[in-house]
Amino acid sequence: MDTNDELAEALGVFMEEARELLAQMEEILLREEAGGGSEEDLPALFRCAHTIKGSAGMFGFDEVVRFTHVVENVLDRLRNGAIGFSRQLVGVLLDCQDHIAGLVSTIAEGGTPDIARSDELIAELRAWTAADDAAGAAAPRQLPAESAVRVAASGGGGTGSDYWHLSLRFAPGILAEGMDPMCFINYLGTCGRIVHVETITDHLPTLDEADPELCHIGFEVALDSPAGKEEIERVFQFVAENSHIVILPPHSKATEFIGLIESLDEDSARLGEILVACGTLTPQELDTALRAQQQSRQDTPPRLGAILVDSGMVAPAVVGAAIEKQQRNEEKRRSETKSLKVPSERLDALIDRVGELVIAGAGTHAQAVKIQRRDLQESASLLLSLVEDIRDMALRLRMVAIGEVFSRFPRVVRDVSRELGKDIELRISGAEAELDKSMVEKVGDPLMHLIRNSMDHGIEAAEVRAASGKPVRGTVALNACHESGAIIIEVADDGGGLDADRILKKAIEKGIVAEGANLSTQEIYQLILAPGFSTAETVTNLSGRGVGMDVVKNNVEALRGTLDIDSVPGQGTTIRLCLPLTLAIIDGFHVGVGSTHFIVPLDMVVECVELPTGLDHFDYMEQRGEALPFVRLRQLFGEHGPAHIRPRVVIVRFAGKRAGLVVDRIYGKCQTVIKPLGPLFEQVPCVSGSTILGDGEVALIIDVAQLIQGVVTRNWQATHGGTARGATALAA
Amino acid sequence: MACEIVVDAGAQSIALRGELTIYTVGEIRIRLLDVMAMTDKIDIDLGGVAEIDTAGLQLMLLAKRKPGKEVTFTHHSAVVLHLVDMASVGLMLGDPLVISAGGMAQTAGN
Repeated sequence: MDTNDELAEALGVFMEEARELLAQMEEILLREEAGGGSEEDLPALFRCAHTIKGSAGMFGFDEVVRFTHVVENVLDRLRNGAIGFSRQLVGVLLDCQDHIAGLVSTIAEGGTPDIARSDELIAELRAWTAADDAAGAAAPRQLPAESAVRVAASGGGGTGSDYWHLSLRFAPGILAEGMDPMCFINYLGTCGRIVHVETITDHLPTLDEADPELCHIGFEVALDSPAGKEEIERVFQFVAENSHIVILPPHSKATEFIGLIESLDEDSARLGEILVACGTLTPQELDTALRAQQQSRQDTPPRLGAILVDSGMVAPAVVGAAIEKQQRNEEKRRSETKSLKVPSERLDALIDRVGELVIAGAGTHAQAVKIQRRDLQESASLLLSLVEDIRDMALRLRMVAIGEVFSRFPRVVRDVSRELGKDIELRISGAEAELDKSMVEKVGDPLMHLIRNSMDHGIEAAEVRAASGKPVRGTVALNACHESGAIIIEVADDGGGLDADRILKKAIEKGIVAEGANLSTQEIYQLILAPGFSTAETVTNLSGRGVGMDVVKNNVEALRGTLDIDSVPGQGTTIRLCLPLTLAIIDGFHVGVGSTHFIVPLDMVVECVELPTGLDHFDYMEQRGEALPFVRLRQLFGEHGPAHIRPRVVIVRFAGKRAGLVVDRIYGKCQTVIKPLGPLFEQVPCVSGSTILGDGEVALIIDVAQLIQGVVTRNWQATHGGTARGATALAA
Repeated sequence: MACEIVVDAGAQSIALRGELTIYTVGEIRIRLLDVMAMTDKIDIDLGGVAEIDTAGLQLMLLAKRKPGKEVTFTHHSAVVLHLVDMASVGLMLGDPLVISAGGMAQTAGN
């Protein structure tokens, strides 16, 4: 039972790791395709595939191992410069990356892997694989171009008689740490062919003295492998630090073995014999090496590092680079340990309790204020401010960078632009802006729709662009930034812009608006969000079927966000999503109308003023020389409770628009834990949720976004008594 | 899986069954030393060894090198043969060549 749980947990880690690695692969491949790849990309790419193969092997996912091995091979050849990137190769590798992702998830779900697809891709990869691998793959089909590659490859590789030499002296404690040296040697077999292993028993104690759980034996290994040094080194990456591992590449000069011989404490003559036994050195070479060693002994013995460098075993520059790289890896590891993975349900549970704590804290504070005791009030205030801090910290735990969502779009844009035959570039900015994890998950699909839509309808065909003097390559820009408690995400294209006349005509045709309706340009733009609306002349399989934009709108509204459209004919369209940062707890501004309590999200409150007298029949007022539309909550919600002689106006702002809310009383700031309304009340207009106040009263949270939209477009009366959806539908 | 150590009545031979690994070498060594205290010539039957690792291999080498004692390994199981062959310690152990050669042939055939 326990082992099953452990296995499931390990599998979960593997899946997550594989997903991350695959995402990384995709990112690098796309970068390479765009021509912006860096020097570190190729080794990183190889490492991704290698790690996936390795961990898949641990779980016995043979199909993943088999397929990834071929991919890894191609990546290795890329890394070594044996082959170069081409557009075609990137395409195939992206398909491979998709297939690995598919394999991993299929297997994890217990399904049968699509072996036919693997073979298909392996066949496609054959043009780039090394000759020996191609032979191992099923049904090789010879192509003239392919054989040319093979010849070039075999010219670059080493000859059969040149072996890697590995000198392995493990730390004594390695066995107790659960690692088995023979397993490493066995695993080396995945890098190439093990030619010979010589077991070094010189340091074996006697049976009487020996601690059999310590490792006293060493190994000298000759390995015939096309792999790079890095790959061979990686086999030993988890070996304890005080193990002594020396890896000499093929073609190492005989003198280079002096360094090895000097660095080991076994008798050098015996080591020499071992090297000969391994086939690494010929007796003549050994002879030369030993004589050279004798000569060097006559001078003061140089330090090991000096020998290594002098004998040309490692160039000083290489040492410098190696040290630097080691430091970088170290830093990376350190930064990795700084973050901690926590199951999201635990975090949700924590936030939930913090929410309760906030309510209880506010209640306690309210009670303490009633009792006229200063000391009690002081400690209650302190408690409340601490609770607020905890609330902020707890919420911050859930914040993730929007970049997590953005990262999937480069691939989408690449694939879609191919499909459409358009040359489109995606520019991303503000990927570091943070928002709640739950929002991040939900914002992906709407954004995907918007981006596809921009590419399909927004960006014109290349010839049209050229004719209007625009660069042939279209641009879709994805920006994110924070604004007053909300995050704004823009999807902007530099395409043809929206054609207001055509939209209106179409809307009238479809019966979405009445003929002769007098609509502002903004309102016309909003029509594209109406259900069943599509202006595309031709329906592509991407968009144009009239589903999508209204779904986007609904999704965004479900997140308490808004969707704005700006368009300049001939220059492009910008669709702006404005979303709250979190769905859980907010700072609220507590107001009262009649006997009902309302909460306005504090971030959106700009200021509070008294309602000037004599405005009974108006719904706007003058403020600092500008007209400010307002809405009477009393009227909006049909309140009949005791009014105030001097109503107040709470001025709110959302997505760049301002409006006033006329209320009777202002109570001030309060912590608001948002409780969703039940399904029965979901359709109530202009209310996004409810909360419980410190004294146990229920307050409604005002949906400022929806309210402003209604007020600003002067259609708020329609929302009164209508449905939440009706409000915006009528606005359109 | 643990290791079963069967010592025959005359303490002339030992049969190991199960694991010959880091988990069992401590105990096996003690038993070996006990048996060695009684006799100078021991046959160790490895026919029942289902699992062996570097620690196990090392223990074989240690036993073989115990001064004044003559240790012979017999009936090497497949896993033992594989490891002995991989580490090229067949000659070092010096057990009957028939077995060693058979082992190599077997591994080579794989």
